[in-house]
Amino acid sequence: MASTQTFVELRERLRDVGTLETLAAAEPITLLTVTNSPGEPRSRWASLVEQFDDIAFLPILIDRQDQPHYPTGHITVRFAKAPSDEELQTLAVKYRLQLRERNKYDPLQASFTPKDLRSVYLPEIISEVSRSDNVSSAWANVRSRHRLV
Amino acid sequence: MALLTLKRKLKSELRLKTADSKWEFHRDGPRLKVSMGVDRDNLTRTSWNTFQSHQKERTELERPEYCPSVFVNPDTGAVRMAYREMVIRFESQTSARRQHQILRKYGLKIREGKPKVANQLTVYDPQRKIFGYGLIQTANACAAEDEVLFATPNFLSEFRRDSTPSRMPIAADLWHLDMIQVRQAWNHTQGRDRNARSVIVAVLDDGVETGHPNLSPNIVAGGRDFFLNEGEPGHLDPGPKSFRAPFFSSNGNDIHGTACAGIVAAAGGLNGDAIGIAPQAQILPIKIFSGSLLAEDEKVANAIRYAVSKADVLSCSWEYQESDDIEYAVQDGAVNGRGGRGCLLFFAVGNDQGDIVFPASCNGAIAIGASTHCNSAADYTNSGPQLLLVAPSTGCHGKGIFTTDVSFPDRGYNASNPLMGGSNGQHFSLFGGTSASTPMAAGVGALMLAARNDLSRDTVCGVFEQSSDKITGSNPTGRNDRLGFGRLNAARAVDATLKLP
Repeated sequence: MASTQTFVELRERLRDVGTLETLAAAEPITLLTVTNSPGEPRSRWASLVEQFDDIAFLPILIDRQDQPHYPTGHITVRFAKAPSDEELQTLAVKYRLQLRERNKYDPLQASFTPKDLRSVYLPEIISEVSRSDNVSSAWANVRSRHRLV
Repeated sequence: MALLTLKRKLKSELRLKTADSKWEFHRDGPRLKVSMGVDRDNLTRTSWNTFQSHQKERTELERPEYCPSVFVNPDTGAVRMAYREMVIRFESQTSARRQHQILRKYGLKIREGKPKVANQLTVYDPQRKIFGYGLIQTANACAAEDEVLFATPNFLSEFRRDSTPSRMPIAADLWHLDMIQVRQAWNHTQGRDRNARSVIVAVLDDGVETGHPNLSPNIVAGGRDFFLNEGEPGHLDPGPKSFRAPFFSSNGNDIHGTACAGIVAAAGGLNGDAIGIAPQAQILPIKIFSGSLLAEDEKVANAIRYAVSKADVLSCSWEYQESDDIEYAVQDGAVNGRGGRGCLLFFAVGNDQGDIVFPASCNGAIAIGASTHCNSAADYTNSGPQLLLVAPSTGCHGKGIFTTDVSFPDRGYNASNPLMGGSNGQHFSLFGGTSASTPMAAGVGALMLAARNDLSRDTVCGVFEQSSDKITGSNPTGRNDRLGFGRLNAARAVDATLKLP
């Protein structure tokens, strides 16, 4: 969840929607667990966006091991061939994205941010971008848990 | 948040040592002689020079106001001398102007030279009025400032001595070297190739203490902290940064990477020190985690890419949630690293008695499991088709792997227990899990590349397959999911490498 409001202000406003907590990361993550909104994740998200027009809600992504990944709001795109600047701009315009940067270690990759993060349902935009020409795959940049073994 | 925890703990501990009289305070001659016995080789040049200059002022030393203050821990007899310098680290966002304001307030000046750690300064009192016990009081006062992360006297300390008599015998500590026949491999190479170039092993973990006396000779420049953004203070410092009580736990403390690095390439050389599998290889420390904070996939993946661009071998003793970005980074490194010959990327398989974890399960990863002192698979080690081989670790007879431990006072797996690696806290004798096995295999990988640096990654894996020892539970003619092709054998691996056409 992204907002300019303080944690206390958000907690107060979202009291009827669910519980709020902070997860420790380099930049702390504000996590909303929705309690009173039945339905599919997509419709829950849409209803929140409609209700709170000044807060960006990013859905938690769950992997095959049922582990949560917490999106940063950035999208990484991996191209089949190293893209030209023009290709990057075309992709950005087509999907209303802002180019963040090319990956300095891998010429096949670049990262983007949705121009209006609030109105974008991340799994949908990623799915759309993945189907573009010259795109090999795309994914949400996330924060995850590690374990020292 | 974690850094704030560190600050509070250090403050309270320093006060404990003074106010609670845990440290005795001596100014008498015999105690000074004890301090003079500090091993010259293990002191920094500056410390030794200043110490020598005081020896010349011996008559002045007997005057209380010039006498360095010596503290003795009544429990262990460890001696520490609070000399005239103090180390102070500021919060990362503290401006230089504010730092100078605080130093002026306490009458302190910065020693010449560029600090090795961002925002950490070595300071002194040019008026020579603050010394000994007063230095501890000043450090405590500085530490109470909001912008100060920690402040401590720059002790001349018995932690730097290696004459601690209460260490376990080295032969017993280093049983794993014999088990995988490393000493025989050293007849050919210890990690440098025929052109005297050291193989570089990147250790990607929660940080490596680059100033550790048993690691610093083998630390190569270029280490990074990828947990932090480029341009952030501290990005160029790959050392441990996060600590919280209890300080011996991997959970919340950046102490794991220092132990892993020691297994690869601790320099050794002194009786009682740990020695790495490839003691002439070099370590590229890459910090990717901080305490138990969530990490960012993109940064971990880019850390792998950065390491691949600088190192020959990567040692990764951790598991992570599945990530496309990380998987691509591993695959690319295994194919394109080392100028197209492929880097060796070693990953631990995990300790859950289950399936092999990510990223060890990726294509391109070299998956390493754990065996024990009893010549069998460790009960905890994960199994699966990706497993290449196993290497010694904990799990039988209470034997662990002897390696380096963070040397900061009261931090690390072993703070000062002689039975756990030595009373100076610089080593730990019970490191384990697949975390210990993985850097061992990475070290042998470094020896193989030192023997023949033209080998491809796939050829090295082929040699591992052929040269592993069959142990209890192994498939005598091939591999199985529990032990892979068998247990790592350094001598046979290097011999086989040298016999390749």
